[in-house]
Amino acid sequence: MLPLLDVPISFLNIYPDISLQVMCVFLPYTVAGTGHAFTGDVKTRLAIPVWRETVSTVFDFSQSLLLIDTQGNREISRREVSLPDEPAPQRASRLDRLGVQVLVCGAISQSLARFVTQSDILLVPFVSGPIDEVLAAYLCGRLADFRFLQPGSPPAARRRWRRGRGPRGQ
Amino acid sequence: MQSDCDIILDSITEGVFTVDREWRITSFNRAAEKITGIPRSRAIGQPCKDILRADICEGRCTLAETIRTGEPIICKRVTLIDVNGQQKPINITTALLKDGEGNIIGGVETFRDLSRIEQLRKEILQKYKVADIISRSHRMREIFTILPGIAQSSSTVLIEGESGTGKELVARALHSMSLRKNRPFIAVNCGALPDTLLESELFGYKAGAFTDAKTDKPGRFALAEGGTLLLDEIGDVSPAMQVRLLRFLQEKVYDPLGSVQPVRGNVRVVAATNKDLAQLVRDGSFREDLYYRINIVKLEVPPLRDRMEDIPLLVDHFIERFNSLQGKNIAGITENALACLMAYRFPGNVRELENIIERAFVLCHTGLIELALLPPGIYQAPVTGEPPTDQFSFRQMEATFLMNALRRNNWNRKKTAEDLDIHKTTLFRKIKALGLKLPLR
Repeated sequence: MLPLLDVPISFLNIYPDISLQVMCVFLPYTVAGTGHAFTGDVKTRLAIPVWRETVSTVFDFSQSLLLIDTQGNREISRREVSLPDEPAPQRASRLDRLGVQVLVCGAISQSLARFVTQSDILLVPFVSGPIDEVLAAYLCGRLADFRFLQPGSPPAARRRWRRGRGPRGQ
Repeated sequence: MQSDCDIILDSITEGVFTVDREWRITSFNRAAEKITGIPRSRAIGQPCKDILRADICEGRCTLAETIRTGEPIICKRVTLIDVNGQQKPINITTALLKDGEGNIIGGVETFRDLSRIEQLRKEILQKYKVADIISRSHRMREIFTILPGIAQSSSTVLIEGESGTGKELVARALHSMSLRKNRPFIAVNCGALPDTLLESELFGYKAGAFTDAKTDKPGRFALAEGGTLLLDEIGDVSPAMQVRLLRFLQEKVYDPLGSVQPVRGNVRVVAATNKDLAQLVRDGSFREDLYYRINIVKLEVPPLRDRMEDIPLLVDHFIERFNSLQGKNIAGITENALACLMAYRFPGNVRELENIIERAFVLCHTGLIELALLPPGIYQAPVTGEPPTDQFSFRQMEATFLMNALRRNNWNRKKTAEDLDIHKTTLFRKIKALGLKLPLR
């Protein structure tokens, strides 16, 4: 289990009324452009909602989830699970039950974002693009590339990208 | 520089966008910017699913369906996530976009934000809803007003009303508002069981009471201990059973079959019937003393034909419920179909209306419930002497409404005018203008 850190991250807030609890570790190196990362020694379970080999547009409505186990910047294994239509609390607790530690997704409603972050899952929203490219970019800390920013993302997320910081958690 | 087309599109309140054959947005009007929260400059050229971000975008795209079939999709209800992460209910309509030579060059999607309508609908429903009962009629509102007071007492309540009017819902509402709400609510249909079985069902039995009674079995009175027992169709109970019920209501004790010890019960009894108990008493088939015991507080649930103003509310409620239960996306009902329902007398009351909507759900998958989806025989031409047509006009609806009001007031025009809060001269003028033929008095 990764150590937990409560970080006052108002500057990261895309949805201002959500108080986020970010799961992160400060270890020898960080993923480019962030203050925190998962290290080479730590196994991490990453989840990406998927639709036709691309990141699903809205996590709330996604029907399929790709679970990827990573170690440092390497992918160890992956599998796909289907997601039923379900309310936000159930969807967040499903992630929890699946052992997800990081969720990289497209758009997400405020309510679901709140439940996900309350489950101590690091949320990396407003990402779009082909799954393999997104995963490769995530593993080597290049998600801040503007081409991975979802066109319909909120202004706060766009500002982060413009500054080269990429999504939260990256 | 904006084209004339853009200026026109920007002036309408519905969101409109067009896409090319690659699903990239080619135009995006001001209302679409407002609903999605995404500026036009960012939307143009992007895949429509990344901008609309609706629950149908992945796998159930209506535009794709329209382009595939050539058929427009009208008023499909969907949910999108706006730029602020808020879920918004919208209804969308799709159509093909063709060039001057008739070649398909893409599609057009118009959508309307239903957030405000939804909010208002919820507020209205909240206003007209008590427990699970929905009504705006003044007779039901009177019941709603006195219900909390009755719930707080432990008096026996008699609920009278035709079959399907929601007597059990009223009984459940009484229970849920009472201090007994955390204890059981048990409903027994007295008319559905033969007398001997009803006795063992209500009072239970002891082991050895009869051949197959190997163990003790608690009755409904025991199961409802501390709570509420609804005795439905009390008018169908035999005279012998009436005596046993009377004993419980008078002394709060009952005898399980085969027991030598009477059992004291703390149960609030609510009786319901679709019969006129007073008439049964006069006929001698119902005990007068039992009638007075259960008739401490009487609630009369009016039939649906006497509260036609509830039909739109109830239709909305059932559509929402069946959408949720069956995972469908019916947006509502057409004006013609609703007018047709308003003209029907509903002998089966709210239950019949619920069944009509359920039937329409079987036949309809999306859009609006049309007149053709209502069961044959529902359409009933008002007595205006005009031949029935498929289109239900405002005139016909007005005629039906007035006929219902007159019927409700036993064809008394003065009372009807008072009921409708109009002057009797206005009523006479309308009767004449609509050509209504009233029965001879």
